[in-house]
Amino acid sequence: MENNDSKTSSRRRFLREGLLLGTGALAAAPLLQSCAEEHTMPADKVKVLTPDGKVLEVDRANLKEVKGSQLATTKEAIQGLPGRKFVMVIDLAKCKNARKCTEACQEGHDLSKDMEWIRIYLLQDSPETSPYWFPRPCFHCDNPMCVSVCPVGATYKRTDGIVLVDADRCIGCKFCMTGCPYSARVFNWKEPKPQSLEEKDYSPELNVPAKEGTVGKCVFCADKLRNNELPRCVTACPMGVIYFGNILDDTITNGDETIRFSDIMKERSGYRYLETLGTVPSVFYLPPVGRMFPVERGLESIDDETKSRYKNVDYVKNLSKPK
Amino acid sequence: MKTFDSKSLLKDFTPEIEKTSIAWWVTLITFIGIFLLGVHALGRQVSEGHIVTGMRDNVVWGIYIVNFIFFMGLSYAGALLSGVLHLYKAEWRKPVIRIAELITVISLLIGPFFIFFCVGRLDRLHYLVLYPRIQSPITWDVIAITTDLFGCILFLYLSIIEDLALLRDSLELNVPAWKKKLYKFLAMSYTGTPEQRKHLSQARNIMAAMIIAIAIIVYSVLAWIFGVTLQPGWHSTIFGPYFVIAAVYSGTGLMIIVMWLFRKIYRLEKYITLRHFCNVGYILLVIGAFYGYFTFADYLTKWYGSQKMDALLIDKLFSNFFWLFIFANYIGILIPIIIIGIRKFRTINNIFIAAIITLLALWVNRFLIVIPTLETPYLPIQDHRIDWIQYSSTWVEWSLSAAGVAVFAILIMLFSKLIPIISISEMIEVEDTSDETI
Amino acid sequence: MQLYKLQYISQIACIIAITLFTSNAFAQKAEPETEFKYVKNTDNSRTLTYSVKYIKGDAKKSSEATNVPISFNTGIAKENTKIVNTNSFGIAQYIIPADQKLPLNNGKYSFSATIIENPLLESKSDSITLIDLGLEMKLEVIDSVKTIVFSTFEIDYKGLQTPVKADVVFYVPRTFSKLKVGEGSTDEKGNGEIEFPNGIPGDSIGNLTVIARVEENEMYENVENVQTIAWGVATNYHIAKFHRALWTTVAPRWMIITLTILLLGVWGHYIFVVYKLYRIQKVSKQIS
Repeated sequence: MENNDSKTSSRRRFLREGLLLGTGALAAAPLLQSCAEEHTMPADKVKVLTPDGKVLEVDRANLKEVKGSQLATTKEAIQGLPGRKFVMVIDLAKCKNARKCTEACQEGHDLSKDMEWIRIYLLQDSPETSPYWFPRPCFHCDNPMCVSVCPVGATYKRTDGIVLVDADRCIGCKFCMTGCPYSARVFNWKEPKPQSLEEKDYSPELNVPAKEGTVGKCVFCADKLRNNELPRCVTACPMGVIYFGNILDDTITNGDETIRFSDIMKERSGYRYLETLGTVPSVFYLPPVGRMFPVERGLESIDDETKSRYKNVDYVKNLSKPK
Repeated sequence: MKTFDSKSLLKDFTPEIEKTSIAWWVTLITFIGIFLLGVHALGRQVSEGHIVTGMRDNVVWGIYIVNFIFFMGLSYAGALLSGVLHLYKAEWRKPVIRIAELITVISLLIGPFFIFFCVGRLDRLHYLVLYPRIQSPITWDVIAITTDLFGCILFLYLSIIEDLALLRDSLELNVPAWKKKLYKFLAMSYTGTPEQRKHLSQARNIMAAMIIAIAIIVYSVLAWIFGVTLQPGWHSTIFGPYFVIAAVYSGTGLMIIVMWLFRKIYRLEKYITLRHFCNVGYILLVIGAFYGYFTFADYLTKWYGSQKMDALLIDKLFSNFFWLFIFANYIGILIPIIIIGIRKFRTINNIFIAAIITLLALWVNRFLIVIPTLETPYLPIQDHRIDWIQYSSTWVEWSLSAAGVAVFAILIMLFSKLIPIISISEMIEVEDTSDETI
Repeated sequence: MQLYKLQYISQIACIIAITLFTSNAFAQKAEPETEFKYVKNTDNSRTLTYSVKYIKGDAKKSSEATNVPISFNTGIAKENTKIVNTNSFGIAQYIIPADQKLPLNNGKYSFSATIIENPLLESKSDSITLIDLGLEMKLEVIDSVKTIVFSTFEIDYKGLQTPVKADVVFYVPRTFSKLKVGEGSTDEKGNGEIEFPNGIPGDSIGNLTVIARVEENEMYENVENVQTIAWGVATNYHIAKFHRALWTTVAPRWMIITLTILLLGVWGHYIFVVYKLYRIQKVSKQIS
């Protein structure tokens, strides 16, 4: 039950951190400098809490600034996290196109504004049916066409279900983009804007910095998951639309509320988008029944450019018609 | 059928190898100019990124891929024609078979470059060989094209050995020393002894058969790049054979065009006659009918079943792409069939025009296969950027396309300065007098 | 003379610059946002957690304040003070051992956390006052129903227990968070029971951790009782290597076989043809 025990895992995290803090890390000198500039400790000794609750004094020179945790290397990122099979559930009844998920994703992955790894569509299945907001991350399919067609193995699926792209391997043939029936992949058509995030070694789990001529997509925030944290879109959503969890322990959470995956699937008739295609997505949707907001709310708070995206939806066309 | 002796044939053809006219140089330089424009465009694309093309996240493949399919199609068609004609020992093939073989090799050399232009990281192309995944149709293509290229070059080489030997042994031939040396090296001390002839003939028969098989497999593989995906309009079992037929159709068209050009430029009226145009024309007609049938079958089932995505796609084809669709799938099929089918219209120039229509229609056909499907994804494109919604190719793409055509012309021109464009050895093969036609 | 003046001016400028810079640095001390939390654990140890955040420059969101010294006080006396630095998550934690005697004040315990003078943040102090609560839990199967039997009681300084009413929530820890599996209240006698749900995945032999919690109670703060029991569904967390599929690293067998046959067939013929060319060469050599 170790992998389910959040307490143990936080302890473990703490231990790892303590180890990192304690180990002499001469190589960390530049890192340390950057943090020292911000808030210098007066003494040259600092106190560190060990996993068993003892306070130790550690020489500042041996201190390493650890923000979250180190990113997985390309080699480490090939292995899935043990004992995990991730699942996402998106509650369409709660989405009002606040676009916070997209923004958090763009910020976290240093994407330019015109690149969206999670995209919000306004879908209307037929003119007679009701429209609804439809956030679409990568579905991390269990039968991923994008992975099948990759000629160089740059995109791969891990045991924990995550499909990643190695931007150092990708040759940019874009076959995966035509392979994906959900338009989940984006291409770096030009040199990405200079990095605004702190300098980091490349890891497919974060996929930053992006590289011109390669393909990017939603990575389920694999870097966060490694630290047992929720993806950025999940925590950013003000409505708690996006639930995330480990299907093996049958539990999903949106940060506030934790529910059983099987219960919510039963109660709300969860489904997967375009099930007929046989791609077996890891992302489930809850139908927009008993909505928290009227659809038009999603059109109110967005700028005109974003609004114009939806002009071809029947519902939006009817809105602009004089009554 | 007239028979020719080697002396008079050499006399007829060697001038082209010995001397070059000013017009030839002017044409060559023009094509090199177009080629250099392409090089410049490629430079821009590499330095600024693929943003300079019209491709965007939805239409990720543009006219580069269209050109790729197109050139590969021409190549496989050449291979199929030369292979089949060789095996059937069709007597009339003799003056035209070299043209078919040339088309095969040259377009096969050009085609893959369009894939390279489409690839985002040219610096990583070798990864295709370093880290291959054989589940990917692109890997199938890499293997298939390599195999095909090797086979086609081998086949072409087998068919020019005898001519090389003739050129080597011709004392009157007035060419620079390096050319003579080259002939001597390439002719491989072939002297035409019965045993050598036996070996050569066996080798050629094997390669002719292999080339037919490879052409079919390889072009199907190319079709499966599209067919295996789930995209509406692509995910179709008919795509393999459909592509093969379409390839032969366009290749036959190109063969007529090249025949016509060589006949005019090199004054080959004596050798390439209406008979040859008609015979290749008949092939064009039959293949054209098949191509029409396949096209109809594919769109009929999509239209009748009318699944949402298929219906959207067909709507798009008949609205945004209406005239292109009419040209590719009505005019491009019916006009060639009418011209060749009715005796009255069957002149060399008319057949030439029919061939041009065929060639253009088939390019457009590939365009209509690639672009409208990519503009019709399952999730509707919701974007405010017009270039993200609709594909329109840029000067960079057109320049590189033109450069492809230019390189095709340059290579044909250079080759015609090295080897006679009509197979001399085939023409003097007197013992084979069966007047078979297909 | 001129040179001397210049030197003098530059010295003054230097001093002004330094003064400005340093005063600026001190003036920019940020205001901390803090959260102080008390949890009494199963083994009667107590965890004090202080999380510190602040707004960095013009940022919209607050970020964690790392490496800030926090002094935890478990009584009034100076010797009861522990200093702990916040870690990279902006959290300082101090665990009071179960056997440590804590001073009582009017029957209540007091705890405080203080940000010590430091260059980053302004000082701040938070405190908690509470009555010591005991929470006990028994996991029993009654009439083939998995039942959690629990009781709550106040503990005075002598260790005497007085039953009290309290609301208790039950959780099972999961990958990212705790799953609530039930809630209940104790009666005047301090007793309560609830049914435990079926079908919750446990570990490979069905073991589950059950957490009973009195939460954010005005009088008692947080009190926890954690136990492990095999009430879950035995679950295999070890995902074996994938079977061969189109999308795996290794291709399906039929694919490799088909490709090999095709390639051997074609390249075999090529080799034969090249051999024929070699024969042609050889024949001519024999003649000459």
